[in-house]
Amino acid sequence: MKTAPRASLLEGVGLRKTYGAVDALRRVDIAIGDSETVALVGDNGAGKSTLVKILSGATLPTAGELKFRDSPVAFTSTDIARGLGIETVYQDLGLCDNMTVAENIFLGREMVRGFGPFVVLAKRAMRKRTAEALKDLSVNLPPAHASVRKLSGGQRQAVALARARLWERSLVLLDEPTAALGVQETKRAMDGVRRIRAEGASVLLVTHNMPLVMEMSDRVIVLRRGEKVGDVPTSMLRSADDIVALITGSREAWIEGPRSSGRVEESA
Amino acid sequence: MSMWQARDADVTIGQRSKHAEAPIRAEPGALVRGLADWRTEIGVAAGLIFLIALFSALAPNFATTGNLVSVLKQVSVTAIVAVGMTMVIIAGEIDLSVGASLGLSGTVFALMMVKLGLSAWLSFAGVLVMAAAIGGFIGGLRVMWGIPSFITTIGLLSALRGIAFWLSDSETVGPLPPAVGNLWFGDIAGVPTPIVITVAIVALGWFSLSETPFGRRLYAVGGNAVTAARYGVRVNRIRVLVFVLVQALAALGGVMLAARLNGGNATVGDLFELDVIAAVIVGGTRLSGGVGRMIGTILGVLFVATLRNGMVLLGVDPILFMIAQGFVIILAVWWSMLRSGGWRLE
Repeated sequence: MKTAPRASLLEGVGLRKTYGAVDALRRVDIAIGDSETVALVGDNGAGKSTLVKILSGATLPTAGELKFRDSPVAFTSTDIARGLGIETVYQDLGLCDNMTVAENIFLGREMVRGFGPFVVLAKRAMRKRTAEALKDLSVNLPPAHASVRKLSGGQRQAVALARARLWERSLVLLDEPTAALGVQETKRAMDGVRRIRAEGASVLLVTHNMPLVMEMSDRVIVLRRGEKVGDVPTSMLRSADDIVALITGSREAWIEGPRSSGRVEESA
Repeated sequence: MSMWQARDADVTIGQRSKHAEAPIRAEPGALVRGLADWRTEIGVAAGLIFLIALFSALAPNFATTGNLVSVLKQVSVTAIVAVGMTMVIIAGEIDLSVGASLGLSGTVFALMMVKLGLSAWLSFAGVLVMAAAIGGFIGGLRVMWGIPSFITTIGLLSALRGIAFWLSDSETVGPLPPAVGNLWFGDIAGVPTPIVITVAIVALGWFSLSETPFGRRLYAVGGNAVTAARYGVRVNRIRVLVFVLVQALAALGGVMLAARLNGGNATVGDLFELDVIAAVIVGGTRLSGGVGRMIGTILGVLFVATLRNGMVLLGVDPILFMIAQGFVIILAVWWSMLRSGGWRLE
């Protein structure tokens, strides 16, 4: 089977990141297509987190460049990535425990009423939009005014996903979203991710969970010791063992198509 | 399923599991939830009402308009600085130098008028600029080198006081132009000026804390600065700003006390920082940051002031007040730690 050609959404070419003498990433190319779900896998220390940090604007690459819809961009801060509609669900979920669900979802992007410098928080409107963003994301939905401190793991996950759902306009980066969740909660979280995807978003899913990779992704990218050793449409994989072989190094490399050179349009 | 098990466990063991899926019910629990959220404030308000009832019964001159006005005037400077201190503590910081700033700003204000012959307004502006510089210094060390504000301000506590003594040759600087006295002894529409200023500052503080994006971000900085920064909150700018604010309010307080004394004196405001911090903590603001409200601070200020005033009227030894104030702080913190539903006692 062949994957349908997609327009490129976010693309990194020759991304390199060094921390002192350590090469965290060595010339990695990555391309995420429109409405595509890409799984990013690799052992601990393979460079997944570093790559996510670069794509979310949390850190600058030592070398290499980023393109958003084929135009070069410099992610000097997370604000720039967020401005392009790229939302990140952090591994720690990025929630302030001392604040409510609605306050977390609108942190740094509060809705206000008034004009000029004379503005007040539009609290009711924020609570209403929070409830909309949370809709269908969890069985046991927290109310918008609940303190995040009091929520369960699954509910916290739902809040983080709702924030991404509310603000994303192109891509959601999920950094090990299920690491701290049980089986049922993982299933619910993935239902939430499917919902966001169905609404048109591209997704980059970082995970160690192989069944999840097989189930959710259109394409798998494998990192090993800072290098990209796998870039394969999920439909070409016989089983998760193919991915594990690439992660451990028992298979040297498997890179399909011209994506490795960055010419995404020709992918077929 | 696990939720029901957890609830059953709640019933049988009578203790809430931290890991249970918290069954937050929307409507029937709303009132209970509201009350639980306001537990600290309700506790302090109840304590305040109790004190008022007690002193009204015991001290014949307590429940009089004259005494009320005099308490509110006495407490005005504490309340004004406590507004800024609430913000500093919510941001997860502390400022121990506000008492020394009070003495220094009163002294400098008086010196500018008496020795340099400047107008009251210009002197006031000069004192505010000095306060902003002090706040910027504390905040700058905090954000540029990570020096804890506790350390910087404990240093300034002594240094600013020393500067005030040095500038004034340890003497009272006065008298001040008669018009300045209106700041303390005058009134606006029949209400004493210090009370009007206090109400205005408290209202502004409440508004910016609970109704503006700045307030929201302040809570985020105190609760989880890393997350706040990820979502575009200018964490460092807010940290510097709260110190500038509290120092500016301390300068205003220092000028008001200079008006009261008709002169600047370097000894003014000794141990004042403890009064302010005590009132803020009694009002439910957490030293660990991220939690607190302006209404609680005001209740805390009034509670401590009423305690002092009632004991004075009853002729109780001031030493006893010191002891009482100390235990009230401990009691208040204990009460707020007892909060039901999810407060972790770590």
